[in-house]
Amino acid sequence: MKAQTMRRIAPYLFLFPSLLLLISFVYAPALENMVYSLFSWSSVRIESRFVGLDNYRELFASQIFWRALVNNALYAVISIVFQVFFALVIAAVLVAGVFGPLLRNFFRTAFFLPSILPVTVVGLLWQLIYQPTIGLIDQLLFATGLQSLSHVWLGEEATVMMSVIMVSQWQWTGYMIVLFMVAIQAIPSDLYEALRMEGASRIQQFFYITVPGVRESTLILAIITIFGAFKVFDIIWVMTAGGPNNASEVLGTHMYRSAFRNDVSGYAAAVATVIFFITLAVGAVQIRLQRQD
Amino acid sequence: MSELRLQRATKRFGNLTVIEKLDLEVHDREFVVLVGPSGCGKSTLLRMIAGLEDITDGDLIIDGQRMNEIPAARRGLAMVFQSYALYPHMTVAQNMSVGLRIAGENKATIQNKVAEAARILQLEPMLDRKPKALSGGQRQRVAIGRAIVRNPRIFLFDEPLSNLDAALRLQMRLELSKLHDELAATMIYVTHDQVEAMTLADRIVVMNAGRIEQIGTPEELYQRPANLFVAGFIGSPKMNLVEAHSDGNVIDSAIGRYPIRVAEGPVTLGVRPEVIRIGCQDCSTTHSGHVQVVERLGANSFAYLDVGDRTLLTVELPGMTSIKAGEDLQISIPADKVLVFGGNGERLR
Ligand SMILES: Nc1ncnc2c1ncn2[C@@H]1O[C@H](COP(=O)(O)OP(=O)(O)O)[C@@H](O)[C@H]1O
Ligand SMILES: [Mg+2]
Repeated sequence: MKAQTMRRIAPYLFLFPSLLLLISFVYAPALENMVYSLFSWSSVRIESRFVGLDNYRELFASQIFWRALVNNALYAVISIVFQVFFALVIAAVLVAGVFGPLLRNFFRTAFFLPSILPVTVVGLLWQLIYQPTIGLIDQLLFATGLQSLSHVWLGEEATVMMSVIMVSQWQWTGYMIVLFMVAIQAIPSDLYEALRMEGASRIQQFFYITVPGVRESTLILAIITIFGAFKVFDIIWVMTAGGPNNASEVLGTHMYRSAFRNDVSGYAAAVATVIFFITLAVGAVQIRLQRQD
Repeated sequence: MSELRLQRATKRFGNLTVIEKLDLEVHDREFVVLVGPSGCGKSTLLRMIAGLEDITDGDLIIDGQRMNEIPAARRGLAMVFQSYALYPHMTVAQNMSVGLRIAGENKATIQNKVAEAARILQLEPMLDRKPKALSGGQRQRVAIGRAIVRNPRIFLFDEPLSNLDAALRLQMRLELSKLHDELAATMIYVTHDQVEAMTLADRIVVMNAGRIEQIGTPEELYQRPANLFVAGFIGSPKMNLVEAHSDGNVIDSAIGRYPIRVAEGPVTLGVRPEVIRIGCQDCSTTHSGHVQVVERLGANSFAYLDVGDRTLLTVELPGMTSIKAGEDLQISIPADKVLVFGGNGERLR
């Protein structure tokens, strides 16, 4: 009898510590943050003032907020194109054995390498590459007679966001290629052989077997990519800090600046709440899609 | 007309030679079974024919045309894989029609061919299901159906029944036999199971270590195996193989003296379990043995006899025998049923 009771409560005993940590450091602060977003307060004063939805009104009226949101969306779309679509295609080409094993391993390692670099290092490296005139890109443009395409890549409002986004693609696409390679290699090879005997080209094999075969992985990787796009902060803070003139602002940098530079903590909490609900919505979509199988 | 010829076909993976200078002819409408122990190169040979492996050396000729450089899809062959290789996200109908769709056949033709294959294989109620929702035997049929709709010159099978349980295997064996007659097709079938080979084949090709040991009808292989390997491989339970010595006129062994004239030296006698008689019929060759184990299968039984000289003899007995372990038994072996293999393993008589 006693052993049975023990067996019934044992799982909860195992779960309890992590549940406690989750509640105290994740769920409670998230809720608390939502409460804070209804107040006007500063981190250097004790008193705060209830303002209802004022912070949100201010937020939705702010041009910077909308620009940040658009930048996050752009970041998400381009990341999906590179880190999901291109990565899947390149992974399929590498797995298909178009190259010999030596060349394949070389490509895989070369693509993977940027992902193990710290974001700060990557940011500084690319600041040098983007330097006007003396940077690698401008040097290449000058050398090939295309100097008319030259820009102050990180200094112009028109080019800064794309420039930073491309650095992220450079850093993470290889990582995704490796993940997709693992997923593709789990597909039984005789499926490809059977389809090859039916006369399918490599492209048909890709669409008939690879794509449906990695559907689950693709879904999860796409969702992770979108999460990342709406939470992005580090690479932008290192490279441009949201500038020039807020042209590369994203929700993350907007929130950080509001909280720790402009000291409008209630407003920053409202930004955080918006980020929270966007990622929550993405997560809900993921769960829906996975349930359909 | 579909004829296939392999001439001095060789396959090497790096330094490893898997198939060595192999010659084989498969005739129109023939059911040829490649049989041999695991790892002897059967799948590799079939994949060379299919076009899934390059042929290192030698020629593959189908209907008079050299096929070595022709891509798999244009050889006019269809293959059924051991794993079935069904596309998991496609329905049964889609699985069967994918080749036709790739070839750009029109919808009506595709539908007719799929319906015809589904009728032959009794898959009609399952056309809209995914492979996941099918039993092993049904998946097997879909894989065969996929081959049928392509109307190939030659069907290739790589151990298609080895993932099925025993009862289903027997049923599918019969269905494959029927299918071969119904389609009047040329089929090349790989298995490691000699029972499948014996029951399905017009001709059996016994392979060992990348070479052909013998080609022949099931009866030829059973009655007149070319060498010790084939003798030991074909037949269940195995042929009794007994070490013996020839003095040029008489062969002396643990199961008696036989006046068989072969060259002097060590030989091996081969005796099928069913030719051994109980009791003293031709008493010149009567011998006694000690029964160690008896297996009663119902229609027949097998007794394992210790005849001395560390030789265990399998004897087939009719029905549920009353002979028990521990008894001593008189046996006689008609001399004309004894096969003799020379020191190099080749059959001498
Ligand atoms: N792609 C390959 N690379 C190297 N060795 C292989 C390859 N495929 C098969 N082999 C070798 O060839 C031999 C025959 O294999 P296989 O044709 O699969 O045998 P079977 O089908 O008769 O069991 C085995 O020793 C196997 O290890
Ligand atoms: Mg095999």
